[in-house]
Amino acid sequence: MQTLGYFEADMADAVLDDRPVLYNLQNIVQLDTDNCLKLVPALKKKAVVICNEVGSGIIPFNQPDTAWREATGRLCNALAKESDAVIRMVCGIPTVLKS
Amino acid sequence: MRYLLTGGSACGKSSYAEKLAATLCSPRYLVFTLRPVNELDSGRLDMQRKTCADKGFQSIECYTDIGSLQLLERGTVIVDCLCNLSANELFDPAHTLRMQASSSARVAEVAGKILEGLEALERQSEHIIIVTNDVGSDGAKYDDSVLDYIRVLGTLNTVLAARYENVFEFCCGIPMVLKGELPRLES
Repeated sequence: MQTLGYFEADMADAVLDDRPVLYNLQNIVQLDTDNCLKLVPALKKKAVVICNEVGSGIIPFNQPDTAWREATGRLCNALAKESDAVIRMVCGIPTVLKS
Repeated sequence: MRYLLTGGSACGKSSYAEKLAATLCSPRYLVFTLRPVNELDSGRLDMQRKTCADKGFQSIECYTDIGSLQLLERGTVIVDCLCNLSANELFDPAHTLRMQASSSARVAEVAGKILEGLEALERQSEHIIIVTNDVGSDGAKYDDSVLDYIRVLGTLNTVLAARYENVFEFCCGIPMVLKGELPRLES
């Protein structure tokens, strides 16, 4: 985040407030998977939104966890459409998916 | 042309498969492998049938024995998805004897059967688009049967990726080229 000019004080951990950066979006989704797409307008106001990829691995046996993975994926798809840039981080290496 | 689309849950791979198929020759078949066991599955199946009706795809539900499908005309076929097909085959109650075989024999048999089935489908199609998933990417501990499932799907993904012209991985609805070339699609 420092590369983009943001510091710890700018970063909100799974809380929607006035700070420009939000991380751990997947934890907010988990609170209400049915209505997660309603978060898009508020998230669009952020400079940076960071979300873990939670959709890989064995599909969970319980429905709430499955719904959480799906909701997080769908929200990320919707946000990516609205975003100027989408960057995937793996091993500290950025891959630009959209710019 | 053959396409393998991979990525986690709800990453946009199925939607992309449908968009891609719409640019390829008809008739277009959508083979859906999810055997519905709960409300979420039934809802997904309803959505899939509606997609087929809206887009003029022929909907086929096939839970096991994909090699037995007979397509009436050569065209474009989507198989969505390998993770359900593998689970249905591996845990098929009609093949309880399979569970008595060694793990490696079981994995080889199931993966071999599905690969043969897909080859049969390829022979009947101009284009094939396979949707799969990355079930090996988590850190949880599983019992042997789930580990077999991960191995089956890993084997299928590896063999198909080596054989197919195009392999794309999806994240946030956006394709990344692992192999081949991204076709131009209208957004």
